Amino acid sequence: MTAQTSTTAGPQRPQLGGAEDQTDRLAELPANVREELAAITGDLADGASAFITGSLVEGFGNEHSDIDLYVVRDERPAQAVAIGIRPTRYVDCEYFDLRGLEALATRLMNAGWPQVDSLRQRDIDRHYRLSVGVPLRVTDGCRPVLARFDADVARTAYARFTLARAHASLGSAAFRLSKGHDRPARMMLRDAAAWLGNSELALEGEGYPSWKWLGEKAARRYGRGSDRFRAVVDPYLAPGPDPVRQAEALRLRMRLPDGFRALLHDRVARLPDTVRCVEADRSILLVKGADAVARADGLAEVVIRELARGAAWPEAVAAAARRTGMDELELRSGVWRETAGLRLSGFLVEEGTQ
Amino acid sequence: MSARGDSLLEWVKSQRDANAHQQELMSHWFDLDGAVRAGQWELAWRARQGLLMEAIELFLHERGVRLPGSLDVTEQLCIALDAVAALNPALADTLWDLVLRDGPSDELAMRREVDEMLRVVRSELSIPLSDRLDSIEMWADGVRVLREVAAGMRLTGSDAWYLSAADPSAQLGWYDEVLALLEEQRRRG
Repeated sequence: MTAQTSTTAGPQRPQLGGAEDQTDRLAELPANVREELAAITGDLADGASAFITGSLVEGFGNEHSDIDLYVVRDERPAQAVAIGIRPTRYVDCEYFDLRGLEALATRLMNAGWPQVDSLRQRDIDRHYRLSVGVPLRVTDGCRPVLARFDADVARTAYARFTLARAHASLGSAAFRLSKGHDRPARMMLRDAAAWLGNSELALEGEGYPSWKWLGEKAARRYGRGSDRFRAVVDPYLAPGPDPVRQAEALRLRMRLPDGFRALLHDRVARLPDTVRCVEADRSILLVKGADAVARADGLAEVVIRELARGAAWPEAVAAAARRTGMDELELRSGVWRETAGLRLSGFLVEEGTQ
Repeated sequence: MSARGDSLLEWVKSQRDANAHQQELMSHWFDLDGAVRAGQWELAWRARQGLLMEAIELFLHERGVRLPGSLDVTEQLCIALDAVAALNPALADTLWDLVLRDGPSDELAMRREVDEMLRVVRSELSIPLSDRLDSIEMWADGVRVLREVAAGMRLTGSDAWYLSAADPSAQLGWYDEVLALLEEQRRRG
């Protein structure tokens, strides 16, 4: 076994530096990666910029980690992604044009709690990766756009995004526990623990926006095996068999900022006039016009039944909380997540959010 | 033997979905192999869970079960396990047991857990994969078939989606290049 895991506490994140620094960082990459980069950049047309990023640059990568490349061209690229299989790795290349890159840089700027629902994991991930990526070649046109990518902006957005996801998973788990559905509840609680751990680590400077690297981020921040490491990692990796205790432990850890509490109250949806509800076996059908139907079950069903009786959203969620015995804020988080598909396809209409 | 006609467009959509799962499965296998060798147990456990999830999706796809797409991976896993339970409740219980286990934090126990998961993938989910190279081959075969069928519908673009590593003078197509690489890796053991 080759151990490549960091055991030192404290962030040691890469930072963009001058040409000398970039040369140093490239030199730290494995030889087969450097050879690959030389071949790919050698084939690039003039006018293209290229960066290596991802787990290898972040310092977490292992001998099978993929080589993540971003290529930026002035013109819109013919394809969005390309892949190549190599003996021990694969190459994953994403293509952008300069306008797309500018739009990406803008999307995360000024993203406070009211904008959290419009954040996308992929945008946060790309923003962070571009801010810490090692340039292999940069054109004059790309340089000023690149300067707009800021790892701290991505870390802040990721801390909020992941806390919102953790709270939504806790809400979904609590509903399932209230119904005696322990197995899905345990899955959701594990999910909540991983999101919460990622959020806590982002607040402490470990903002690499990738869920799966929870352990390596905690190891770098707290030291592998330390008490703090165990407190963050174990609720995901080895939570044990008691979901009620897991939920209580997560509630104790989860601190909800005022901005997030306000967002939970600002999220409001309604049934549009074109949608009617039809009772079905252990669920409710939403029929939209003459050509679309959706089934609502679980937590969504409980709230939609109240909406169908004529209640407005605040009354509907309050009634659902009384009916299920759930904490109202957790219910608001869980049902917002569980109705995301219905809102996206027009069976519910959002009101009052930015 | 059974023969059944499907709409070609529906078939292409369905095969594209399956191919996305094959690619995810391959990606998880790279993560799994790298993480176990590096002692990155949390990543290894996440990759094991992801690999199992994709295998369940492919099992359902093979049986004609189309799941409603969920925006959330964990929600999707719960939906998939409900669908397996409708087909085979005992198998669903086995899969729930695998996904709800606590993850180990040493190499021997992790390898034991991975081996048990792969045994279930092969024997219960009937997906014939033994190692990462098999997962690459399954993905490449899926892409090749999809592109060959879609070519007749003029739905495929160029081969620029594949980043070749081969010597240009060898004039290998992307699929032959992948197969040659797999053959070389298997020969080396």
